[in-house]
Parts: sequence; C-alpha cells; structure tokens
Amino acid sequence: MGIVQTLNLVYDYITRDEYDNEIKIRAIDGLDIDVEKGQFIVVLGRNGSGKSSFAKHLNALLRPTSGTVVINGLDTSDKKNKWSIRQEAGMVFQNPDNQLVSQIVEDDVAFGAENLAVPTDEIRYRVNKALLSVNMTDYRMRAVNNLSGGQKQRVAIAGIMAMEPECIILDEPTAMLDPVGRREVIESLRKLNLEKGITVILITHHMDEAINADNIFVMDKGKILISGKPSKIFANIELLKEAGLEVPVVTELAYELKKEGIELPEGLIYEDELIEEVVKLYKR
Amino acid sequence: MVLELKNIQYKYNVGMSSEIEAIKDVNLVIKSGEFVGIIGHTGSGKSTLIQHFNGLLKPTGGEVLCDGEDIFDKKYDIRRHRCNVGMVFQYPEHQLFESSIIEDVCFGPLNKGLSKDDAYKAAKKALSLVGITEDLYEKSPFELSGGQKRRVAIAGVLAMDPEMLILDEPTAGLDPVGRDAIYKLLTELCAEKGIAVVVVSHSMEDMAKYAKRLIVMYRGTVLFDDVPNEVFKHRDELEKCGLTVPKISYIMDKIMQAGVPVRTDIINMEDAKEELIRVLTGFKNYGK
Repeated sequence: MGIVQTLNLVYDYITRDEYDNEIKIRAIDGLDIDVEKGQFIVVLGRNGSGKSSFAKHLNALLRPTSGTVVINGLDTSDKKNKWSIRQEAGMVFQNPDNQLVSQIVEDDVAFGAENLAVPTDEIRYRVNKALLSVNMTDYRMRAVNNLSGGQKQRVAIAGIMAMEPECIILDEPTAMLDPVGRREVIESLRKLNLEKGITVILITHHMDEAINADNIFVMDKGKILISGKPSKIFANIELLKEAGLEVPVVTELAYELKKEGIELPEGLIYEDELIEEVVKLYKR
Repeated sequence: MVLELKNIQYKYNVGMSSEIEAIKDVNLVIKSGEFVGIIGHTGSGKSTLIQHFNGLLKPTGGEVLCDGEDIFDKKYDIRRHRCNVGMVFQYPEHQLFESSIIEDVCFGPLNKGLSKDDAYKAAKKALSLVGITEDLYEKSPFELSGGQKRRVAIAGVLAMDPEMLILDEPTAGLDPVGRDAIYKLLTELCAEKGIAVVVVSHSMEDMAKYAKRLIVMYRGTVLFDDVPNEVFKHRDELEKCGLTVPKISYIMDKIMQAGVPVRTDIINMEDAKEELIRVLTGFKNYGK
C-alpha cells in the first residue's frame, strides 16, 4: 500500500438555493488514488474539478462523505488520527501571505515543530536543516514581510519540513509568483523529493511544472479523467483541451507542426527531444 | 483620455528609518485604446505604480495628469476620476459581498450617484460584457466558479463605465480556459470600446500574446517601454532583473544553437510554427 491511498472517495457539500432548499454538490465522485512513497505527483484539472477538495482530504482538513483516505497507514476518518496525519502530510497553499505566522523567518519555520512539543535543541537542528533544504539559510533572521513571494513560499515549505513529514501537498503554490519565484519553488520541491525522498503532491495550472512528474492525475468533475506518466498524459492533447487544460509549450509546438505535415513522433514533452528531432529533419 | 505620469516619485515610511523609495522618477503616458502590460519581479514597484493611476496613492514627488489636469489639484473631481479609471485588484472575487450578483454589480453605479434604474441598466450591460447571463443574476456570487466570480468582480468595475481599466494579475489561479476568457474580454474592451487596458502580470507568455505595449519595472524605474517583440530581445537584462522571456523564445534559441538557422526573436507559438515550417520544408524543397 502506498503512502497516500484513497478508496472510492466521495465528498458532498451542502449549499442552499434562493428558497433555502438544501442542494448537495458532489465535489469528489469516487476517487481511487494510490501514491507510492517518494513519488513526485502532479494533479491537473480545471477550476472546480475537485483538486482542492481532494488536497484538503490528505491532511484531514476535510473528511470523506463516503470511502476512505489513508495516509501512511492512518485513516483520516478516525478523529484520533488528526494530529498524526497533519504531521505526516503538510500543506502549502496558494497565497504566501496567508500562511506565515511569525515576524522572523526562523521563528516561522519553528512554529509547526514547536506545536508538536519538539525539544528546543531538536527544533534548532530541524530549522537549520529545513532552511538549508530550501536554500533560505541566509535569510533566517530576516523579517518575513520583506521577502519576495517565492522566498515566502519556500519559508512555508521549510516550516513543513521542520515537522519532518512524509509528504507535502501544495495547492497552486506558484500562482502568485514571478517567473524566478516560480522556478525557485519548483526547484526546491524537486530537491526535497530527490534528496530527502519526500513525497510531493503538487496541484498546478502550469503544465510546464508537470513534465518531470513521476505520475500525473488529471481530474474532471470530481473524478480521475486520465492518469499516468507525463509522456502518456500529454499525448492526449484533444482530451486535455476538452478538460479545459492545455499542454506544455514543447508539446503544443510539436502538435502544431505535425498538423502541418512535419514528421514528428507522438507525445514530445522535453525540449531536448524536440530539438533533436528538428535537427534530424533539417539535416535530412 | 490621456493619463500622464510626470517625474513620479513615491516613498514609503517618509522620515522613518525604514524609508524606502518604491518609485523613482517615472514618466509615462497612457492613452485610450492602448493595451499595456506591466511586468517586473516581486517588489519592483508595479503595484505601487498602478495605484497612482487613479489616485489611491499620492506621489511624494511629481504629478499625475488626466487630460492635462493635475488629479491632486484641490479643484479636481478625484471621485469622478476614480470612476473613470477602474481598478481590479488581485483576487477581486474576495471583494464580492452582496447577496446576489446583480446587487453586487449595482453597488458601484449606485455609489456613483446613478438612479436605481440606471444602475440596473449599467450592471446589466457590464454583466453581458463579461458573459454572465440573466438567469444567474439572482444567484449568490459565492455559488459561482472561480473564473465566473472573477468576471462578476470585473463587471462591478465595468459598470462604472470607466475609460481605463487597470488589473493586477487578473488571471492568477485561473485554469487555461478561464484565463483565455479574461484576456479575450480585455482585448474586446480595448478594441471595440477604446478602453485603455493596463495589466500587471507574471506570465511572459500572456504578455507576449496579448499586450501591444510592454513596460518593464525594475527597482522603481521603467527599464523598458516598447512593443513586446522589442522588449523580449533584451533577454540578458530581463533575466538579471528576475524575469524571463517566453518559453518558446528559449526553445527557438536552442534550436538555432543546435545548428538549425531559425530566427530567435520569436515570442509566440504561431510565429514559431511558421518559422520552423519555413526552415524545415523550405530546405527540403530546395533539395528537390
């Protein structure tokens, strides 16, 4: 069994119409997902497809209407597991300003671990390690509000790292960032994944952030529309467009060229592949 | 409408140890019908700059002129100016507050002093512009999708009938379809109604595709102000100030470096496609 597993997960929420009648809306509609420890997972899907509801189930911010969510062997429906699960699975949201709590970087990074009653010396050690892992050591005594968006998101990630989780879930962490900030955050996540074996679940609208994932889940209407390796997912251009998504720049360029009769293989996603093919065609 | 910023300087925390000069001697002229993009890294002064356009911030030096008149002059009707220069902040849907969509969009026009009937008409017109249909009017704005909410919020500003629209990252957090819908709307408003559109964005791709003029902010100054094609030629300078060029430009560059003689001043998909077809098939035909 993987580190994150959902079995026939269903989530309904209740809203009211103008006559005050209850209306049930099904945000997640029978989701089966199994994530192996140490994988880098990307979740794609249009606004309202159920991505964020899914993410909130992974650290027990939401509990299933039916079905189960199991995080590292812990069932999220069991209220006793709530705090252990939140230590296993940390969450980073879109807006960096909504999730930093302290004035100074190192205090903020220590906050989560302090609340777990980790001994002071151990906290110091963990904060050092966490700041190093996101390349923010030089900023440890800085004021949080003077950081750039990308730096703030990396501080938020460090705060989670200091809690020593198995898994980090990020709900569009780069949506508000400039290009450099976006690159910094994605590089930090890849590093945590490769060097520390942290399982990463990244929700994004930027297709180019998905090309190096181990596995991609595309959600639509609360279900998995398609899942698999990036090369498989992005070969389905028409299906993705129907689901309100797009493909990485390389894939789109290759697709457009193919339509015009240029002979290129299916499902190109990496720059190097495309360049190699173009050079081959040119030299022929 | 001509909006002119003359030697604008803006300092935060004047007289304190934390005093910081966010805008240094900026000169800009923006006219009706322009589609202007503003890019710059976090903290480059973009948001501070645009808050001068409708007088939310008063410059600590220089002046803001609208059709030649100083908007901070005591006799100038700055309230009217703020109706004329509509500002859509980041995540404008967080500012929706009424119990129905139509009431929310009526809020601005009513405060502008329009009668109930006229406010309703203005709201209706604005909502139809953003593609919100009448069957949704009585719904709570909170029942809508993210993209719809944002369009309702933009309608709230459009209902004031502005001549200039300023938007701070209007597509952050939207999926590709929602993003394209917003840009299509802005392009139409600009082309058909002659509204000046000013968009702050972190997406070089969107700016290459939609902006007709691109302003690059760096450390409180205007580093470049030109058509996107020209601006993106300054790749090294842009990278030095925390920006990039569109992904497609990097790809074309690498193709060129790999020995295929393509143009590298390309910033969008269509041109890249045409150029590659020209180089690849042209060469083949030549061989025959």
